[in-house]
Amino acid sequence: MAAEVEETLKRIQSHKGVFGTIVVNSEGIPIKTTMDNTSTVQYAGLVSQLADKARSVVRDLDPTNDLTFLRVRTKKHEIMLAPDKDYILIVIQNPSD
Amino acid sequence: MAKSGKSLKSTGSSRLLLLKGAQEKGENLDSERNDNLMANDYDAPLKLTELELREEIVRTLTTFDPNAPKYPVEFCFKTQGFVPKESYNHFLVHLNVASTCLHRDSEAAQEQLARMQDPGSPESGAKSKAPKIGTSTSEEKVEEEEDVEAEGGASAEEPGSEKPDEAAAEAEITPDPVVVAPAPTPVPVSVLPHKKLTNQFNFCERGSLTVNNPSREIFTQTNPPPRVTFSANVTQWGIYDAYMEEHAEQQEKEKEKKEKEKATLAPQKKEETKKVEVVQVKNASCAPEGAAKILERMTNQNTYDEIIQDFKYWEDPSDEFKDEEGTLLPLWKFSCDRAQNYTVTSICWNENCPDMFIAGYGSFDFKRRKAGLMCVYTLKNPSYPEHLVFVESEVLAVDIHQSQSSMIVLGLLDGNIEVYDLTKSSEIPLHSSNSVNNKHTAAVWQVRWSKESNQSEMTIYSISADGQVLSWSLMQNEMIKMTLISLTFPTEPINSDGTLCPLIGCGSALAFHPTENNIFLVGTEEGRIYKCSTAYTSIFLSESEAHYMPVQQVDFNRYNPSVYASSSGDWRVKIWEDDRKEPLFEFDLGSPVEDVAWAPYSSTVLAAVTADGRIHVFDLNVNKYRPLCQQAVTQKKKCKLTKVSFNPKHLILVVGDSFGCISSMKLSPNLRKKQKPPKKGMVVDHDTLEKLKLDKLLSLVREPNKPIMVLDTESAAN
Repeated sequence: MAAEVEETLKRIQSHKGVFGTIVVNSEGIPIKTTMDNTSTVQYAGLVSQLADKARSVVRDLDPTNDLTFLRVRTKKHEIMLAPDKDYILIVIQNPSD
Repeated sequence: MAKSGKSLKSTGSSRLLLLKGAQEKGENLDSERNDNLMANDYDAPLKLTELELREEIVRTLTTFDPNAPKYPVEFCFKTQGFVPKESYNHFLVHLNVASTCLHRDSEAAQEQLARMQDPGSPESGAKSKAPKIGTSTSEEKVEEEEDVEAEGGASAEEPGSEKPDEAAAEAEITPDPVVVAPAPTPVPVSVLPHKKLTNQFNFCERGSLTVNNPSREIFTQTNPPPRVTFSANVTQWGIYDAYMEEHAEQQEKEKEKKEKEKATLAPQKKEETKKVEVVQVKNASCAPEGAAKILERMTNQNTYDEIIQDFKYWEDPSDEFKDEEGTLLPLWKFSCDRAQNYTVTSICWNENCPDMFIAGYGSFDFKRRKAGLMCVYTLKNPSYPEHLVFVESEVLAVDIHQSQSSMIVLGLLDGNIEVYDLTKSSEIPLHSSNSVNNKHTAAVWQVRWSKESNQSEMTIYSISADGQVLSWSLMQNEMIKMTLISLTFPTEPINSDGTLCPLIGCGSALAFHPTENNIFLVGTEEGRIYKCSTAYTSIFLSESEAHYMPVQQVDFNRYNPSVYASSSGDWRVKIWEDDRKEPLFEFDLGSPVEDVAWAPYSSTVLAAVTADGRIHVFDLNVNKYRPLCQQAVTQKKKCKLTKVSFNPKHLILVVGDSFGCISSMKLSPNLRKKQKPPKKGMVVDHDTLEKLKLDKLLSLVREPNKPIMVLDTESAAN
């Protein structure tokens, strides 16, 4: 992965309130993570499915459109994911800190 | 029978045989003869007298069953006695054969006769068979015999002779059935059905079975072809993507074709003309590339959520009660770890992308030379710059091209000018004026892109402390400089050893007229302001002794370009009008004023920052003497504010300080009052309103030879 992306991820990880960051490849397999194994695997599988579905929704409505990012805000924290060409970035943050 | 019976040796049981015929008549006879017989010796033959021999014994054939009992009786339980029973039938059936013969008078027989009369029928052969059938019947079938014979006779013309003929030539009759039976028949032939009448009783269908070829099964088994299960979902966007790819490929092919054509057609032309290649530069897009950047912005959005809300929606409600006061709400602070030791020397907003600005870092401390820094920040990501570029020497001036906003020009402390392209994101400048001759000989204080209409030539203007205003035109590989003007003193050329040498002032500020591209203002370190034109290289259009200290900044009013403001190290901010020797307004701020800027949304608002860390915002329409807002931006006393810049779109301004930190602040409502149209119901353009406002103000102020001097008493006392 590009050095710039790595650097950005490092910065995000050190940001206030961020629990962890996961990089998932296009098949749903986590390739880089800062969280423990079980959580990573769980998040990777579930969130990549969600991302695919969301993307499908957006593109079905208008094929010239594409998904930029998706935020899922829950009671405890917020899951943010941004798809890229070959991977999906996931960040879990607690915004109210 | 009888005679033979006599010759037999008779025993007691053989009496029946002997006397069978005369049973009924002679019981007595029997007894007599029996006696006779019994008396005699049976072994010896019977001796009879001649009389007895001539006796005629009548034998009759009767139909009486000899075995039947004569007087059958039956015991009747009713009468308790024997009751005579009627003699039963003396009929014995010897043979019973079911036949298919029909009585001639019956209906069926009539029909059959009728059909047999039919000339086309092949049943004439059946007639010959009739007598044969007749001969085989038994004694009881005398009637049928007659019937058949009559049939046979009726059908043939000559019954007697033809029968054997018919019988013999059975097979030959069939080809010539017409001849046989045209004879008048007893059966009327009025309605003869040519086709078979079918009914449920005498209709029968006969099917025949053809020979079937015996079927055989032969099979072979081969290896099954390798199979792969493939499944996919087709969606509308999948189809769209496929089409787009194809389209892109086609475009590439066409491009290649064109390039090949060009290459083959005109290789010579390139040598002849040395055009400036149009650098098709994309605008630095506002949207971040890559998911990582997006995520970073999102995280920041969460962290700075409150600030963002304030930025968008906060309006200080206390401004309603403060009449001539406004406040600046601090928003984000932009700083970078690496920029801690630097001073913010210049800030420039991106016109196309209003949330992006570029900050140049350098230092005003000329003793130590170090590398300079240029950072591209966006409001959406306050924690880290989008781009970070280290430059050889300290950056003193930054400017972004108006239309192609990825082109940035930097003016450096060592006199160089560098042009960067943000889309290429490399550390190496696109163009650089780095050579011995091709640069300023002193620090470049200000650089500006020229607003030209055609995009083929890009020109930069720069002013430096060596007193030259140069214009640089960008060629393919180099930058060619051209002296626009040289800032000479109006005094007599003088030199210590008597030679005539013109004194050249040091330029420190440069500002271009907003509408007329040729006119620009120059401020010098001697405190003069010159109005010049690009057309005239040696003559100033006008000049004025503006300040006692170096002019730090000059800025044109956007709504009325004949009005401009200047700030200088002599603590003063002065507002001038063209062709006036004296300033319209003059403000003393108590500390060297580093920067001044007019607001883009109003013709009467301007901001100035001073070296004591305060920012002053004026609204000349509201208060001609005092600033509406005087606010300390930085906490540390040593921190000087060096630059101020208004955001072209949003109502914020950014202030740079000497510790490498840029603070953004939101203007409170009092500071951005909008002008209402003079008459209700009139829809007037914002620009026009502002111009009217300013004109009105100016007309009040313009008094011949009498500037309004304002002392800032508070800060003067400090």
